[in-house]
Amino acid sequence: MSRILIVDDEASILKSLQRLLRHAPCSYGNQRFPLEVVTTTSAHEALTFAHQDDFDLFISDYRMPEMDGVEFLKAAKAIQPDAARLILSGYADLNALLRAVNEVGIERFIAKPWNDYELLSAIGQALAHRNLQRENRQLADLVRLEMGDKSAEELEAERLERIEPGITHVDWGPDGSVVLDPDLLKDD
Amino acid sequence: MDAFAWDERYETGEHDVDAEHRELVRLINELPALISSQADTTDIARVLDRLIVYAAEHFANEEALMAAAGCDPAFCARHAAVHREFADKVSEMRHAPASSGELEYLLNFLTSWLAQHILGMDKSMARQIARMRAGATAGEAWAEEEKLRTDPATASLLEAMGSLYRIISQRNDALSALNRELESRVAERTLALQESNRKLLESEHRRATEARRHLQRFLAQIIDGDPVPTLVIDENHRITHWNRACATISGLPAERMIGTNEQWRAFYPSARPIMADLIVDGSLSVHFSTYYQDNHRRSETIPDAYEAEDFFPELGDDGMWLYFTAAPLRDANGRIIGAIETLQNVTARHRAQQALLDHQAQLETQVATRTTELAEANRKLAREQAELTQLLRRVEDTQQQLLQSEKMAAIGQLAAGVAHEINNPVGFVNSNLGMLKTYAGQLLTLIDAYEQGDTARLEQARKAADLDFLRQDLPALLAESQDGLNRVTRIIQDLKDFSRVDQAERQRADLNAALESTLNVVRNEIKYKADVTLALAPLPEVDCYPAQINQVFMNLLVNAAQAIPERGRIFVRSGVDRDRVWFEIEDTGTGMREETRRRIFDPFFTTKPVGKGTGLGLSISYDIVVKKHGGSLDVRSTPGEGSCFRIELPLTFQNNSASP
Repeated sequence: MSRILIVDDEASILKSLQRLLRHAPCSYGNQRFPLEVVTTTSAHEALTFAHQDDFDLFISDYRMPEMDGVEFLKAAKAIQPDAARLILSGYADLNALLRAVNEVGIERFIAKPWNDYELLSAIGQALAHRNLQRENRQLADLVRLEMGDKSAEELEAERLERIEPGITHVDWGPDGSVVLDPDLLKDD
Repeated sequence: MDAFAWDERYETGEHDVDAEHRELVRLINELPALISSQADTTDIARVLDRLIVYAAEHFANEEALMAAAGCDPAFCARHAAVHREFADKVSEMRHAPASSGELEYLLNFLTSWLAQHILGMDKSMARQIARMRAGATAGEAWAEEEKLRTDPATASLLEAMGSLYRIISQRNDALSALNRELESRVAERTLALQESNRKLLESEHRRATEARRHLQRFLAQIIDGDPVPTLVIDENHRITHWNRACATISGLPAERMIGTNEQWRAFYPSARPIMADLIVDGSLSVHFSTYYQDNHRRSETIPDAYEAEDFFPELGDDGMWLYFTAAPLRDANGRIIGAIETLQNVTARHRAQQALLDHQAQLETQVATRTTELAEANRKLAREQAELTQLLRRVEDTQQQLLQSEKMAAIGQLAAGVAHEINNPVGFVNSNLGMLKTYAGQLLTLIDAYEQGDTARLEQARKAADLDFLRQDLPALLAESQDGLNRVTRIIQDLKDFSRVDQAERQRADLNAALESTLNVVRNEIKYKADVTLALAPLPEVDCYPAQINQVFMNLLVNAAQAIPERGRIFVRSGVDRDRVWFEIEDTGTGMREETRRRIFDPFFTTKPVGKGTGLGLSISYDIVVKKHGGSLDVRSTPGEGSCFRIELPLTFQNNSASP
């Protein structure tokens, strides 16, 4: 089961996408991806969701009142770097596209109005790619473990780091204390 | 001296009669003075007339008196006859031609008759009346008179006559004595006058001689002192005057020249007549042409005088130009007795004239050169002007292109917003339709299964269709799709409102409506940045170009949205102030610093990143509001707080520029 988070300020868009994804089979090659779709009209709420649960794919509109799609995906990437990212926008602005590619590394830019089949295959492709990456890493970790390049502790630390970025990292204060929230220091 | 000397002998005793007699005597006594002074005969005639009239009156009075007293009729008749006789006589004489002799005779007659009549007839009448008053009858009184006939009346008459003649002889003596004295006095006077006349003649002669001499000397001085060279010759061509100026100009002194006939020496190397000689000869018309060719003419001011101008190489250092005039001198009979000739050195004038001519020629050359230069410069200017005109046209073309590109940029920006707004509903409606197709397929399969009555397939189809979900989702899908299409329709309508073709014409327009339609179009663009708050007051219709005003509204609204970094508010207000309407578009954006605010209406000034703005939006807005509509466009701004643009437009159209 793949989890997808979709953000668009337009509720009707979200509803139609839910309809589409509920029914249509998302497949790539011989893989089929049963989907669990979470939607929200608010980018801030979407980020909250991203903190709470793992997602395989973020799909975002570009023009939104609170923040634009590139900003949202940047923030989401910081939370879940391994998740794939798509932009679905009716705003065909070259600058927006450039930013999306260069700053966020999106998988696809899909224009509104979209073609259902293209959208589904793009989602399938992104998920397959994501699975492939994940599988690739697992295999590489396995090889490194066997060759003694990495200890099991290190691998576990990396796994934890993927789940919760920064959890294995400790900020030491100048007095030897452990700084839990570096922002507090900055405010002083 | 009176002609009739009145005395008491003439008194009759009757008072009225005596008074009238005296008046008659007075009238007669006026006559001698008039006769002797040769006075106008009409004066004499007037006195005589008065005398005749008065006498007639007097006679009538006497006759009335006699009748009243009751005198003897015979006496009365006689007395009246005498009166008539006298009146006839005097009237006759009065009308006769009046010579002085006859007038004297008349005077004599009058005096003698009156004296005799008074002494005789009138006195007798008075006595008779006195007697009758004393008690006598008329007949007695008359008889008494008849007795006196031969005595004292005649004696007294004679006595009166004697005294009269004595008076006359005395008067004659006095006159002749006076005459003699006068004659001797006249002789004396004549003698004295003759003597004084002789003396006067002598002194006058002396004075005339002296004056003539003085005049001659004076004339000689005038001629000699005249700064104009002057010479005079007599009828024999001998020089009589040769003044100092003439001596100076010719170099020949007067003492050498006067008395000779060598006047030619002053002017010519050999003997020949000068103009004065020709005038004395009277051979003017014949010889003038010979000696003076065509450069002479008659004087305009002096009759018979001639003028000429010539160059004399012998005179002075470098020769001399002389202007000379010669006029004849005539005696009282008009005979020519000499000639006077004056010379004027006009060399300086000639030189100046020559210099002037040279200068003029030089000037003309200069003018010609300048003209050529100017023409060249003109041609160059014309060329440059043509180039400039071409350049200007190119600039105008460029400006037109820029305006167009600004419009296109604005439209592009608009189109992006609009595209987004349209693409969203189109996107989900399209997707929904796809789903609807799937739903319809499932439902048809289900219906097929029902028709076939195959319970196994029916159950399978029901499961595939997820009928419970479908029941719930299908109306939602249709409602959302409907809503999406409505939104597209509305956006298209807004666009149509905004860009109505007829609004390009000048017309009376509801600008609040125009502002709202613009806002509807732009709202898609600005809704991600700002909440718009409207506060529009009812406005009268404004005479303007609505399409252009829409463009201004759009510019200001888009600018306001772009000035807001994250999210803010935009206030849109309108109102009326006397004969102007106003609009305010205020944002809570970044605001501007003073140096930016000063430049925002400059063309091509922009604070947006390259490629984001043309820098023409506000410049064009300013052009539209201020220049084309005669309104005003102001801005107030505080950095960090926001800006407020205010448009004011007159209600009646006021075009400030040549074309709309």
